[in-house]
Amino acid sequence: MPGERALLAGVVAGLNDLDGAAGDPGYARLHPPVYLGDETSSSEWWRLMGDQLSQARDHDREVFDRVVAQSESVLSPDDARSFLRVVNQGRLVYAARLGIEVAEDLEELDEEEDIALWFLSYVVDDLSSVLAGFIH
Amino acid sequence: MPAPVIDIGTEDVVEDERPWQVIVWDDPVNTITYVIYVFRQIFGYSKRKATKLTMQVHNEGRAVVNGGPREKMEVDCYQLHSYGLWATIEQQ
Repeated sequence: MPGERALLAGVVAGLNDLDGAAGDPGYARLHPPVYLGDETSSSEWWRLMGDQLSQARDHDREVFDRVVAQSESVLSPDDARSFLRVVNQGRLVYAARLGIEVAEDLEELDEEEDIALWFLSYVVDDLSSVLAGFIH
Repeated sequence: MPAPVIDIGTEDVVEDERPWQVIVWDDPVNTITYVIYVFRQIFGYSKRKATKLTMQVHNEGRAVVNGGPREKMEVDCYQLHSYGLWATIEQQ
């Protein structure tokens, strides 16, 4: 459905302008500390793993954009996992930028934000359930 | 004249060999269904074990999801981050 596709694409577009330097909560959510209380070790982990993670996320995004652009309805499990990760990243960044840090913050959303987040949750849960069927 | 005795410090240095573990933390956005799937996909856990760990994250705020050598835990952490879960590493 065009409206749902546009909503998905719109939320994922929020991944285009992640900005760590500007204190973007979306960026912070996708780059959290790995060693609590040890900034040196956390920085080292991100130094070693950050580029690889960034490349993996870029690959997932390419799959997502292709699927949406070509209106693909049948995906391989690998493509479906990429699609799932991107949609969930979009959710995380969207929610972080709305200031959602604890469950109670969800009650402060307006109707449009609430519906958007609910729809994205539905997509993530539905796809997770389908992919779980491929795990033996 | 006796040879000088130089104390070079012979304290034993004992490396901390406690194993490492990966912790997943609760957050208000990742859904339970999704987290269960991620645990099954990354670690090969049964649905029962993945569900138990997910509910521990949800109810207690965190759960130890795996343990072992530090290098392995760093890779596990990478995989969890690729799925958007917040994971950290610490020694047991």
